[in-house]
Amino acid sequence: MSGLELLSDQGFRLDGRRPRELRKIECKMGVFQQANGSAYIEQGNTKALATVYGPHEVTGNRSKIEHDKVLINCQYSMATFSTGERRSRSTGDRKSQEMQLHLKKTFEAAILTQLYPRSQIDIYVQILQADGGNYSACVNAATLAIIDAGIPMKDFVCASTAGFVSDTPIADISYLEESQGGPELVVALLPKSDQIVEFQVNSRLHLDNFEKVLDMAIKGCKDVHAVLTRVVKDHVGQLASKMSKT
Amino acid sequence: MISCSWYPTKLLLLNDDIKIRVSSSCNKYSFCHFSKFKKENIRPDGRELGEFRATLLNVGTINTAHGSALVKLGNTTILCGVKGEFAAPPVNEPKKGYLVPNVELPPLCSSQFKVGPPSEQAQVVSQLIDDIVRSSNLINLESLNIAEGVVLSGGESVYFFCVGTGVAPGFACCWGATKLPERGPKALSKLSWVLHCDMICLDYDGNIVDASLIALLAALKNVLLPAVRIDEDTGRAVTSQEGSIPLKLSCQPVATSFVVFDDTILLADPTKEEEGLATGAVTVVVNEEGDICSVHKPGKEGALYLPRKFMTASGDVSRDLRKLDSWLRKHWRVVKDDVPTGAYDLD
Repeated sequence: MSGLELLSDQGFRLDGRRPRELRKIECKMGVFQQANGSAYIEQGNTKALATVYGPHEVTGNRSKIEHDKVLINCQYSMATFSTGERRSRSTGDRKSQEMQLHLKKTFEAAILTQLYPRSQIDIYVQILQADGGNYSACVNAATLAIIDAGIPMKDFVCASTAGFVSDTPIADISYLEESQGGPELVVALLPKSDQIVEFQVNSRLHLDNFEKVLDMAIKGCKDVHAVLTRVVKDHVGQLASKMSKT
Repeated sequence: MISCSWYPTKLLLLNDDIKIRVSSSCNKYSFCHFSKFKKENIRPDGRELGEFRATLLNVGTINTAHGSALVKLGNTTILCGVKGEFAAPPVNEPKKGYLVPNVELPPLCSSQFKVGPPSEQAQVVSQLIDDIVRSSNLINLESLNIAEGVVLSGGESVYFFCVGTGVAPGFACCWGATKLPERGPKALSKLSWVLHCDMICLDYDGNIVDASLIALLAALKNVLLPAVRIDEDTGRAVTSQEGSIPLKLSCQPVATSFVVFDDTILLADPTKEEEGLATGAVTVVVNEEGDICSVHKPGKEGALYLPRKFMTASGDVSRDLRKLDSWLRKHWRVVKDDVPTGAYDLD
């Protein structure tokens, strides 16, 4: 641990947030023309982009075809200029592969996969600028992109992180807080039914504190849900007003 | 009014006076569909033949890069991020640095691109941009040199070598120097910048060369490299944000692409569909002085006809050149002046 004081005596974090406060979320749906669905999200300084193609015929290896449900193909890439040090490759390294698998599992749990047997849905996410919480930014962006593509889901998938610093759980941790070596919880939630579809803990966290931190992460997810719902409603409202004009 | 068959037809309203009736048996991407527009000298999206799409530019969008810019040319979207790293200069040119452009066409931008190593098209565009950068002398590579021929005190032979990569802004000390076995009292240390310019296509709707070059230029204009000092005692390169310097570009090349349709008609700034239907393509790169920096024309279509069309200025041709000129002026305005961070509408 370095000498950085992650939580001041007055209860403020390094970037001036309160422990339970999320970073500012800005998002936009339907940003691109080529894709069936697309969305852009900014969570503080983390910027992510998601595009969705499909459902379409299975491309490539036909042995991957699933006869009772849709095949979900995820690709996660980080722009070479997205991190402090330049990354030599944007995709295909082990970390990206792991992230891809997590995203695939997350969305398999949320999309109504049985509706499109023998088909494929591609979810491509791209991190343009990384400042912690990459997984959650990707999940939130991909959720919006899937909604934009009109693919039925059980519920929104909302993801958030939580950390634990000086006996206080903190929500939506940034890169600086992530890299100090403290525990990090990553949760992806179906907020309406309170079902956790992805859950991950890095580093050690005492069982006595676990519940507090998990509650903080879940609260983060619900806050994200409130923002995403508003964005979707605004977007649909705009579309509706455009259609009524023509 | 044009109508080609007795099949059910739909009416395309382009503007007040032009209505084109298109048979629904005509596929949107077919030659037949396109021919109808050709007769009216108008394109399916309502543009004239020599008209360019609306362009948006957003500079300094990515904080983690040393310079960045996002360009939207109609629907085509390119994001360029420039990142500087230290490297040993080329052996035969010890006073120079590097500029490495790379264009990515990920599957994210269009369903026509597949997951995997860079596609042929991505490699061709990367190479073309690299050629343009070289032939137009866009940047004086000697300005990317950090230390060349610095004689270190104490007469020790010190040679920089690159272990870690890149410079995290605001952090001092990038790597250590090793002391090589004594090779004489005065050895030279060499260090240069390598600028990695990664252009990612986010939405592919044709004409990525023009869009990439605008993005590259705007991003390079936005670059602030940290100041580097070589600590004479330790032989380490130390960076600091104070005294960081903007990059000096020696010219502003702007690319203009056309596709050839039916061997006679030139369409400026083609969309993806137009690129697919066209029989040939040509890209002309001109700098602000009006010098042609590069001409790229793959394929044989219109081989004799095209050069004349660009080089002479008479009749129909001058109209094309005027179009080209207004397009260039518009884009130069943005890339010429110092572009502060923010969003711009080029129209």
